[in-house]
Formats: sequence, C-alpha cells, structure tokens
Amino acid sequence: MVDVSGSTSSVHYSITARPNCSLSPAGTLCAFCIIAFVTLAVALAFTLLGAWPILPFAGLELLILWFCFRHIWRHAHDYERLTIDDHKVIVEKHDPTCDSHVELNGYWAAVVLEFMPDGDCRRLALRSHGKEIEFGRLLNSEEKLDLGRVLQSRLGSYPTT
Amino acid sequence: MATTTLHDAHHDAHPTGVMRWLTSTNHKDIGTLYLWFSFIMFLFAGGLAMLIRAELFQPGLQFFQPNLFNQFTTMHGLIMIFGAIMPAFVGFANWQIPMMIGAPDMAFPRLNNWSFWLLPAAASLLLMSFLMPGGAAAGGWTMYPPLFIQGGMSYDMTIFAIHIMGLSSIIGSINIITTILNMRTPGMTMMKMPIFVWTWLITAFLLLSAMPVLASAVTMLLTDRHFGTYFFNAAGGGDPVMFQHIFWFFGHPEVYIMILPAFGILSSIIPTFSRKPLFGYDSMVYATAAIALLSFLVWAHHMFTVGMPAASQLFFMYATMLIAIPTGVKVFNWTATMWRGSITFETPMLFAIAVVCLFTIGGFSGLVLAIVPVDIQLQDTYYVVAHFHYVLFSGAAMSIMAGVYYWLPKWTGHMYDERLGKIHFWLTTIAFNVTFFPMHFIGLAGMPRRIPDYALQFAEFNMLQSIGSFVLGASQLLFLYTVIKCIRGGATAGDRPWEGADSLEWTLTSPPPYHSFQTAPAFK
Amino acid sequence: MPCNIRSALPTITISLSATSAYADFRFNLQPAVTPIATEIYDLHNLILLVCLAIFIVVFGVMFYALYKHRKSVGHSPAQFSHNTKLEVVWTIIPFFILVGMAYPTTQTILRMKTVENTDMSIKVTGRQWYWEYEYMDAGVNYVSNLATPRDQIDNKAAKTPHYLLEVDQPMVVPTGKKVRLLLTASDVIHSWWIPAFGVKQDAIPGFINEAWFQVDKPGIYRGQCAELCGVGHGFMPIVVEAKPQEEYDAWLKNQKAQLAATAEAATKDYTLDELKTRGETIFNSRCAACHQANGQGIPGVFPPLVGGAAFANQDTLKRLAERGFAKDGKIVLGPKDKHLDIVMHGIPGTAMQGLGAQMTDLEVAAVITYERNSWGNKTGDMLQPKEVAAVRKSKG
Ligand SMILES: [Cu+2]
Ligand SMILES: [Cu+2]
Repeated sequence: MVDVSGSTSSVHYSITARPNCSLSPAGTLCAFCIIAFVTLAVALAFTLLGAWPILPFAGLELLILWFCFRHIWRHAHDYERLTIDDHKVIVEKHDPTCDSHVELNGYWAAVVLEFMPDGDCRRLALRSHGKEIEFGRLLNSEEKLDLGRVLQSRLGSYPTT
Repeated sequence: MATTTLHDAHHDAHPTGVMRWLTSTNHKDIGTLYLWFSFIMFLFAGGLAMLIRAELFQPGLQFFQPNLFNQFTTMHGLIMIFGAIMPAFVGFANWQIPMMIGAPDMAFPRLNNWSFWLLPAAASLLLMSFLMPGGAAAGGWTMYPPLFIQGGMSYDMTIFAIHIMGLSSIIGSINIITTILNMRTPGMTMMKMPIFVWTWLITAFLLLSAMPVLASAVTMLLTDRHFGTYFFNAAGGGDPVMFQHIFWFFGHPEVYIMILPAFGILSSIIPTFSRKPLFGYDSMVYATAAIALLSFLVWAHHMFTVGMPAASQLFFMYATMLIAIPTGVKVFNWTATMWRGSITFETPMLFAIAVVCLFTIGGFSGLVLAIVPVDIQLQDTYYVVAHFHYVLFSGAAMSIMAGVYYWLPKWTGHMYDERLGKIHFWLTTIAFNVTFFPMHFIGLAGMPRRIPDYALQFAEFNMLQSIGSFVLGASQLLFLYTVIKCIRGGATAGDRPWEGADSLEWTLTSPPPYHSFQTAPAFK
Repeated sequence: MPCNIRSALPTITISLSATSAYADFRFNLQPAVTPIATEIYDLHNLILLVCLAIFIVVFGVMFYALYKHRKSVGHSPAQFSHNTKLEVVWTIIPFFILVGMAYPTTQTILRMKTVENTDMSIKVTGRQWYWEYEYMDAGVNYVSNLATPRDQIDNKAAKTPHYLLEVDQPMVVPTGKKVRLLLTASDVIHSWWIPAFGVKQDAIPGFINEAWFQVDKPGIYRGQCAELCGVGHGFMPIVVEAKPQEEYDAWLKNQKAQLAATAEAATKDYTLDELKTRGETIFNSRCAACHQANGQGIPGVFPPLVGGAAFANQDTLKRLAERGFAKDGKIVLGPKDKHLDIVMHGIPGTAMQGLGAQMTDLEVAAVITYERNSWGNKTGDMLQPKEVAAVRKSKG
C-alpha cells in the first residue's frame, strides 16, 4: 500500500510504503487463539481416549500457523518513507529489527533500477556520492517501476541492468 | 524515454516454460496448476468409475476379479476426494480470493508454491501403488481396520500419500486464512467480503481442525501395521470402532470442506445472472458458520450400526437433523435471490440451478439417512452411494464446472463456446441422473455397496446406471475440449463479461494483470 | 477379458423373469416381516413424503421465478436483498417439521434397542467370508457358506434365481419367538443384515453386539454382508429360514443327530478318492475365494497352492518358508504336519486364519488330501480324520 503526499508541489514530495494489513495485531492474536483452542481441544479429547498420536500433528500445524501469524504481526508496522524536501532527500525505514534514517543531497541523488534477466524490477535505489540506499522493499515490481518513473523526473537517473 | 523502455522490458516479465510453473509463486499460476491437476485427477478417478460400472454392467464377474474391483472403488474414492474436488476448490481460492479482496497476491506466495507441488508427489504415490505386488489399497477409502491392516506395501504408500496431501491442505489453508484476514483492501470489512471468500475462510478453518485428526488416524494404522502397536487391533486389546470415531470426526467436516466453497460459487453466480444482489447476505454467513460448527457434532451418523447405545444414536440423529435448517436457509436465500430478478440462462447459471435442485435431493436423502431406524436399513447400500454422489458430484463437482464457465472469460480473456457449454450441461445433468437416481431404488431394495457382483433383481437398474455413467464420463471430455478451445481463442471477453457481476475481480482487465491489484482498490 | 455374449444372454432372460418375483420392492424397501421392519418402512414413507412436499413447494417457487422473471420476457430486476421476517419464518418452520419427524423416530429407536425377554440366543460370528451360527441353548453349531456355484459367478453356467443370495445351511429360527443375536467377528468387521427384519448390526472382532427380531410369517429371508470385509465381501450372503415351532424342533433334533454322525464319521478310515471328492467341495466353498478353484491364488495377495508356482509377496513368502512351504520365491509342498497346522491354526499376520474351529476332523482331512493331490500336486498323501483328531487333542 502506498501513501503519497505533496506530489503536486514541486519542492515537496513524500511517499510512504507500508504493507496493506487489514488485520490488527489484536485480531491476529485472536484468530490464532481461536484456531489453537479448537485444534488443541480436539487433540486433547482424542488423547484422553488413547489416540495420542494426534498431539504431534496438532502441534506441528499450530507451529506453522504461529510462524505465519508472527511474521504478519511483526511486520504490521513496517514502513518506508521517502521525502524530497527542497534539496534534501530523506529515506526512512522501519521494521522490527532496525530503524534507519539517511539523508542525501538532492542535487546529486540519482535513481538506480536493477532488473532480473526476465525483466522484473529487482531493486530500486538512490545513489549519491558513491553511497547507495535501497528503497521499495514493500513495493512490487510494477510499483517500483512507477515510483522510479516519478523519481526520474524529479532527480536524475542511472539506468543499470 | 528511459522509463518507457524500462516499462516495455517489463512486459511478460515472469519466467516462461517449465521453470515458470515449477518456481511460480504467483497466485494465478498456482491457481491454474491446481485446476489442471484436479482435472487430470478427475479424469483418472472417473476412468476408474467407468471400469467399476463396466464390471457392474451385468451380474457375474466379467472383467475384473474382486480384489481388483475393490482397488478401483478404494482409489476412485480417495483420488476424487483428495485429488479432484479439494484441489479444484483450492485452485478457485488461489485465483479468486486475491482478486476478490483487492490484494496483489496470496499472503505467503512461497508457501503457496510448496503446498501445490506436494500434491503431484502424493498423487504419484497413489498411482504407483497400483504397480505394487497385490495392487493398490483395496480396503475402501474409509480405511477401516482391521481390514486395512491386512494389506501389503501399497497400503503404506496410501497412508503416506494422505500424510502429504494433509500437509498440503494445512499449508494451503493457513495461506488462505492469512490472505483473507490480512490482505483485504481498506474498507472491505468482514461483513462486506464476497460470500465466496467467506465460505473459503470457514472451509480453511474446518481444514485446520480436521486435518491433524486424519493424519493421526492414518499414522495409528501405520504403527499398527508395522510397529506392533495395538490402537485398533482387537487381537491386542485395541478398538477397531475407535478408528471409525476418529476417522469420521475428520470425515464429516471433510464433507463440508468439499461443499462450502461450492455454496460460495453458487452465491456468486446466482445473483449475477438474476441481476439482483444476493438475498440475505448476513444469514448466508451465519448459516455457513452454523453448518461448520454442527459438522463437528454429527460424525457418528456414519456409524449407527456399530452398536452404540440409544442415547448416542439419538444425540447424533438430532444434531444431524439440525443441519437441515442452515442448509435450508441457503436454498431459500438462493430462491429469493432469483425471485423477481431478471434471469438469463448462460451455462454457469444453468449449472447453478441444477446444482441447487440436485444438491437439495442429496440433502433430503441425507435427512432420510439421519433417521436412525431408516439408516439401519440403508447403511452401506447403494442408497448411500446415491446420496453422496448427489452431494459430491452434483453438489461439488458441478459447482466447480459452473465456476469454471463463470470465471473462464476473466481468466483467459476469451468467451467460451456457449453452445458447447450448454451441450455439456445437458449431457452432464441428464446422464448424472440416469446414473445415480436409480441407485436410490436398488439401495432401498437391498443392494449393498462395494460389491463386484450382485443378485439378479438389481440387474436392469445396474445396466441403466452403467449406460448413464458412460455418457457422463464421455461428456467430461467435451468439457475438456470446451475449456481448451476457450484458452486458445474465442470472442474477446470484456473486463465485465457478465452484466450483473459486481465483485472486485470484474474491475480488472481480462485476463487480469500478473499482480492482481498493484495498489489497494477503492471499495464502496 | 472380453465379455462372453453367449453367457450374457441367458443372464438377462433370467434376471427379467427373476425380477417379477421381486417386483413389489423394486422402488422401495423390501416388504417387512417383523414389527420393527414395519415401523421402519412406514417411517421411511412418511419422511419421503414430507421431503417430497417441501421439494415441490420450494422448487415450485423457484421454477415460477425462473419462468416468469426471465430477462427475455422483459422482467426488470427488483433490488431487495433482505426480509428479516421471512428469514425468521423459514428458519423456524423447518425446525418444527424436524421435531415432528424426530418424535416417532425416537420411539422406534427405543423399541429397537430393547433386547429383553428373549426366547433364545444365537451367536453369530462373521468370518472371511462366511457366517458361523451357534445356538447357545441347544449346543448346535455350524457354518453357513455361499451355495452359488463358482461357474455361475464366472458366467460359465446360467444363473439361478437366488444367485448370490443362497447358502448351504441357513440360519433356522422358530416363528413367533423373540430371537436374540450376539454378533462378533474373528478377523475383520462384517455386518449381518436381513432387510425384511430391519436388522443390520456390525460384527466386530473383540466386541459382542446385540440385536433381536421376531418373525411371525414362516418363510425364507435373504440378506448380505453389509460391511466391506475384503475379496469375498460380495459373496457371504445371509439366509434365515423361519419355521413353525414343531418343524423347528424337528430341524434341531436332526441337526443334533448330524453332529453325532459327524463325530462317528471321524473315526472311520477313508480311501484317497473318497477324501478327494469330499475335499473338492469343501475347497471350492471355503478356500477358492482366495486361492482360486485352480489353486493358483491371486498374484501378490493370496499364494498359490501348486508346487513350483512363483509368488511375489516377500512377507508372506517368509512366513511360508518358515513352515517349509516356499523356497527361492517358489511355492513347494511342505510336510503334511505343517500343512495340517496351517489349515487348523492359520498363519498369523496374514489373511490365512485358523479353520480348525469351524471344520470337522473329516473336513480338514479331506481338504488337505485334496490340496496335496490336485492341480499337478501328486504326493499321494492321505490324511485321515483320526490323525486330525489326535492333533486336536494334543494341541487344542
Ligand atoms: Cu457425515
Ligand atoms: Cu462383508
């Protein structure tokens, strides 16, 4: 999901990319608990009747479910924000393991797009003074291309393959 | 200028050829794989059914010895359920759910790829088991011990195949649940989701609850066979009836796993061709949830003859009868949706109408079977065979066909051949009834199921059924032809080929772009 | 294997003539001869009619809409999508219909389950693939096998009217008496079913289930095993003959006399030919379902009995080799005492089960003699009933 603000202004442009999460962390927990409760209740009932081999299977299933939900939950608040303010380009990134804030000089910053052999856009980055900073991990190939187009018109470009 | 070239380079960007299908994590590619896989399995298991009907054409043993015949019935059941019907619905889920909720893809594309590719592995195990000494498993798809413990190597392969397919189902369900819960476009609250998405959410929940039960049941069979355990072996103090309880605790929800997505497809098609919104959306959702909950309380209606106390029989009978209420609500809602609509009869609608009628017949025979004393007479007879084919063929399989005709223009960008579609519909519906309706009669008259040879008073009906089944089987080849023809060309289908269709997938181009919705679409 | 047209023709003619005898239950349950079966018959008709009525109403409405509200007649769609009153009504009405169905059903269930004040008990044991009946109060005990000749099944002979529904020795019960059945099985699950009685009860190894019936009308009633039990599942019918008390008593007396005669027959010496002839009949009814009438078995599943024949199931081969019956993947004819042991006690872990308990000494002796002197087996060995009796005494 992409929020764009100030795109009409020639000096201010900001784009925020975040995953589209229709499930809140509380909702995630709630969904997991309901499924876990039912699965474990069934498993325990059969275990009491002597069919204990159901336990490892129920456990395995809940483990996979847990990892999937944890993944969603941890990344619910990820975002990447690119701000062009006058002559400053600011790239901010937030995810569960790190927070970063990088400032580039707008006059020198240029867009780098890298492609897979098949033509998928693999990577979008900004380069300035030999420093490169990636942007758009939360965007798919088309979105990266669209953004690349916008940035190219505002900054320069270094088309690479 | 640079941008334009970049953009052109992007077209047809994904890998092509075999690698595309092996490595694809795209929900549409995987949906296509699921659908083709299930269609191949449908033809194979259907072929087994043709062999069964050939042997039953006349009394006496003509073509196959009983051992081979039992392999056919067992594998026909297992492959149709786990290879044809279930994967077909997962195929629909893959294609439709992201498009219907406005998402670019499934939540876990990599897992999605795995959950599909487990299936061909499991299917090859099942198919290879025909080549083992003694042939494939012949103990019935229900795998009751102690009979299932007597078999050879192929029985172990069947058990492993079920493990693998179970794992595939679990991964697939988790993916579907997370996609539906987490990737809906802003504004699409739960009670605004298309009914098809709702039915799949509930189905995935049923799958997660039922699959560990099945996996443990077959694991215990395996350890009883090879590792000296006595879970089910009466000779060592085990309890063969216990297996039936565990199996049907999985088995009854499984029935709804195979029918709820079909309800979802019907609830998409009927409003479209009635040009009217679905009647009673909320009660449709509640009815689906009620069916799902009740499905965990009725399993022993498959076991009324094992010798349970009257109190248990009464409990399971009452619970089973209750399911008729939410199921009835659905049928009434569909009728009310058609009422005062502006109805047209394209192939998907014809199938949908037939499904509602025929499924209702299957529902009524289910009610008859819920009545314990009547069930005592009908258990393990052809009446039961008639009942579950009315539910699973005319309920599930014909809904799948309806769904294929309905969404094929969206998927391929071409209209299918309406004339061929209608011929396929009439052939299927008539042949289906010729095949399965008389089974009610021979079941009532006392013909047991799963027998390779039968007494003479059942001869005429059996011959009639066999003739019907051959036509039914052959007309599915016409279906194959119609689908291929549509993929390869045909009139261009617009973005919204059906006038009355209004869910999100119809706002995309036909065929839709590689990633369905690049940005979350606006939702009223 | 192409279908043999010439054998098929008489089949069709016979089936046409046979159905006239069954014409009355071609579309419904078989005519009931016990009170419970009558209740079931009526219950089914009642529920069927209710379902039919609902079906006609609901689909009457639907097809009216399909006809009247077509686009082609220019019907423009209404846009309503809710009607709470209607939705509540069509949730509640079915509930009351269901209650109406549940009430008589509950009463029938309770009656079915009341096994009290019975006049006699018969223990029924399901075995792969025949039934064993033990008259608990009279000490009479025998097995009941399919009587349809193999040739009819293989389409080599015309099929007789009770094809697959006939047995050598039916269960015999007196009319007007409440008979209690105690059902169990020795190998896998079977199910004892006589449609006309409304009795279907699973026979499960390790369990004893109960059922009861009371027939008032003398006659012969036929049914089949109703739970998949392996290769012979379609070939283990159930026949019950209901006789008036005096005839039943006479039958019972005769049965006891036969048991005594069998005991005496076991002390006699027989010639090889006598044993072979008796053995062939027993083999064809008891053993041929698995080992086949030509002794060749079914590849990979049921071993051949012919010396020199190959067999590919390693597990079974190992067990046979332990008993001296296989070498280098081929079947050989092992020693006579081991042969007797296999027939009497079976081979644990395989489908071969001990037949000692169900066969008389003479039958065991005859069938083994037959097997050792048929299909190219030419040992000239003979086994006398006395030898079987001796083993029985020492080993049980
Ligand atoms: Cu069920
Ligand atoms: Cu059976």
